[in-house]
Order: sequence, then structure tokens, then C-alpha cells
Amino acid sequence: MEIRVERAGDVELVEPHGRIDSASAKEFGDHLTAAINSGSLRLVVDLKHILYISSAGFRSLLIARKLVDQTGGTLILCGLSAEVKRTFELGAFTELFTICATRDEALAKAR
Amino acid sequence: MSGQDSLSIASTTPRILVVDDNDDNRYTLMLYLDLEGYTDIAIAHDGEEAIARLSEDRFDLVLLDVMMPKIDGYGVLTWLKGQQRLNGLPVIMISALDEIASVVRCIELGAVDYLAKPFNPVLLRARLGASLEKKRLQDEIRAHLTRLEEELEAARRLQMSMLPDAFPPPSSERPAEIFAMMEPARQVGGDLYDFFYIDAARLCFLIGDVSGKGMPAALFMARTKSLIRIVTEFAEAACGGTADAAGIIGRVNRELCQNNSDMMFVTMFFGLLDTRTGALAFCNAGHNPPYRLKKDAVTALDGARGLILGVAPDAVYETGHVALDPGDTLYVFTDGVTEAENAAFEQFAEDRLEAVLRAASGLPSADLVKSVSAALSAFVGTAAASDDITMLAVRVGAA
Repeated sequence: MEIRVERAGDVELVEPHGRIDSASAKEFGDHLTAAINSGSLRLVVDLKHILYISSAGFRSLLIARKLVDQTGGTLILCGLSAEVKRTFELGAFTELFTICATRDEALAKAR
Repeated sequence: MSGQDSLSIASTTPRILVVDDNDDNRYTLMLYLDLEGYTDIAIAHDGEEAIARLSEDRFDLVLLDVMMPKIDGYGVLTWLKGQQRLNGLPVIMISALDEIASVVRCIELGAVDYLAKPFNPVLLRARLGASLEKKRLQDEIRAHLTRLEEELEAARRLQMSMLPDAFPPPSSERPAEIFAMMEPARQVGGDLYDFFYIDAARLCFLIGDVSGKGMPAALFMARTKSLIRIVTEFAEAACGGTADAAGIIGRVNRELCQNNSDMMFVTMFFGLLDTRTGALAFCNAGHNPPYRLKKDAVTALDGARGLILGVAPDAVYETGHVALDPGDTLYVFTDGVTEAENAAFEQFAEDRLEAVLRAASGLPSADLVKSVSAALSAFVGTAAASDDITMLAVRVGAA
């Protein structure tokens, strides 16, 4: 899957494209893990190009969240479409993640 | 274990069939083969004899001449093409150097390689070695896959037997009737349902959906199912008959969070129903809300929503309460139902499900479930199942 990366100061912005499902979740998860392990402790994941996220996708986010907690970093999500937000709400994932409406808000919060 | 199997395949001397009508060719080949250590050789003088030998015995490789009386090389190859059983058998053509056109035709008919005359022992060794090794690997892969298939089948039988499939009819002590079904997308799945009476009249029932599919999900499912049963039993004993749904789910959640670095999680709808009064206590951990069916009315049962199980050990749950009336049915299901796709990638979705439920709202649970299942099958058609499908219906005051 296509994953675009940008740096905004000491915040790493990750922008995956397409679907995060059983085919792509491992690649997505590995990318986040690598970023955190190489010292990027402030991560913003912009999901605006994500059409669909499956349970495998949620698991990769949960694993990243746990790693970020262990290393004292921050993980913020933004750009959730209405459809994706609904899936988050169903599993009450909204309680587990810091979710911002826009990228700017997320970047501000990450600093 | 698998090491032993591959050892026995490797140590068996390959069995080679040499087919040539020319005595000198056969003699030379036999000599070279013997020098290379291939001692299990059979011979055929023409195509007809070759076909007879191939029908009776098992071979690992065939060295086949083209020009022979009765049935020639092309004839043998054509016959082999029609034999499913002999699909992986490598055939190497024995040819004179000026017969390349015929060699090409043989390869198109299924031969894998050719050996030019006069025979070169180095080339013979290389070509034979390559073909035999390939066949050995293919046989090993096939055996391995068969073993895996058998294991999956055994796992499937075990998993299906974990789910209660005895649905007792309603009685005066237990005036509720229940029916459930589960269809895994692959041999084993991550959906689960369960139901059991915790005392004379109180029924515990649940439906769950483990993240993912296949074997890992099935293992987590088995773990979850056992936990629920045991925790509920102990909670009921500890609380003297007033076990709290939220407390049970909270305890199960804490346990599932242990040793779970892969962040497997399960969504669940859990209910405790007093079948005499219709009082339902329930807890929803990240699961799609069930439907409450009255005559011609279908409404979602919202409330008591909490976090999915297995990821946050400190998660707090709440118990919802609703009074079901006699004749009401509670229909619980996993998202495999609403997300089932047909060949045009359309989803079954809530609208269709609600329509089917509305039409079936007065039916006994078994008929209701089967009616949804039939509507789903008709909708999905020949498209492959993308997720496990599970549903459970419990009707109150049925006796």
C-alpha cells in the first residue's frame, strides 16, 4: 500500500492510502513500528485517504498505540471519514485513541 | 515429525522407465543410468508396452523415444495427458540431434526436457537430477498440503462441536426458545455464540466476533468461550444468584488482555435473560447492536456500550436493562451478516436484514434464523464468503 511520510518539526506525519485490511495491515503496522523504534515519538496518522479499515487494521493501530505508550510518545489520528469514524465508534475505539478532526489540530496537539 | 516423512521420500531410489525400440540406445542408457546410481529401471520396447507399464506401476521419471512401432512417443504423451493421476510425472525425450522439430512438438504435448543422442553422461545426470528433484519437491508439497488440510478439517470439527447445537423446546419452567447458527468463512472461524442456563430459569446467551479469520481467530474464540462460561458460573455462585453482566464482561476482558501482545480482540453482546419475566440484563462490548423484534416492528437494542475485549485491562463496562414482552424475539448477529457481499460487491446491509426480520417477526426462532440465512444465501449467490456468519435468536414467553 502507498504510505506517504512527511516531517513537521519533530512530528512524523504518516498518510496511508487505500484500505487497511488483512492484505495491507502488516505493512502499515511494520511502518509505524519502524518509525517509533527509530525515534519518532510524535506520530500523527492522517487517515483521510483511507476508505476502509478492518479488524486487522485496528490491530496494527493498537499495537502501535501500545508501543507508543511504552516509549512515552504520542500517537494522534486525524482525517477520519464518516464511514471510518462509524467503525471506530462501534468498537469504542474512540476511547482508545486521540482523534482530531483536522491535520492542523492533530499537529498542534502532537507538539 | 515432518522431518521423518521427507527422509523416507528422499531415501527411496527413483523408479525410471526407459522406452526405446532400439537395443543399442537402451543398452547405453541403462549403462549410464547404472553408473549414476539409478538402479531401479524398467524397460519398454514400444509405446504400447510403455502405456501398459505406466498403468500398472508407479514411476518417478520416463525416458521416452519418439520413433517407435505400434504406439510412438507422441502417442504415449497424448495418453499421459489424459491421465490425471500421472500429472506430475516428468518425461524426458530421447532424440537424435536432427529431430528438434519433433522435440518441440513433444514438449508442447507435455514432455519436460530432451536428451540428444549420442548420450552425454554429464547432461544425463544434470537433466535427470533436475526433473527428479522437482518431482520430489512436488510430492513433498502435496503431502504437506494434505496434512495441513486434514489438520484444518479436524480443527473445524472440534470448533463446531464447541458450539451448542441442542436447542431445547420451551417449557413451563423455561418459557423461552432459542436457535443459533454459525458458518465460518474458512474451515475455522473467529465468530462464536453460546448459551446456557445459569439456574432454573435464567438463560445466559452471547455472540462474539474475534478480530480476523482462520486459525488464530479460532484459538482466541475458544479461549473466550471457556472464560465466559467459567466466569459466569463463578460470578453466579459468588453473588448468590445475582451475577452482574458488566462485572462478568469486565473480568473476562482483564483475562483476555493477558499474554495478548498481538492485540487480538473480540466484540461481544452478552445477555442474561430471566425467561419467566422477560427481564434482560445485557452488556455490549464493541459489538453491532442486536434487533428486538415485536410483531412487524424491528428496533435496534442500543445502550450499555463498552470497549472491545482484550485490549484495555482497565476498561469499565455497564449493564443495560430492558423488559422483553411475551412474543418478543431478540436477534443477535455478527457483522458477517450485514457485510456479506454479492458478486457485484454490494453488501446485504441493515435495510435488507431489517426487511427480512420484519417479515419473519412472528416466527419461532429456528424459522426466523433459517429465513435470514436463506435470504443471505440468495443474495450472496456464488460470491465467496468474506466473513464468518453467525446469528442467534431467542424468543420470550413462547410456551
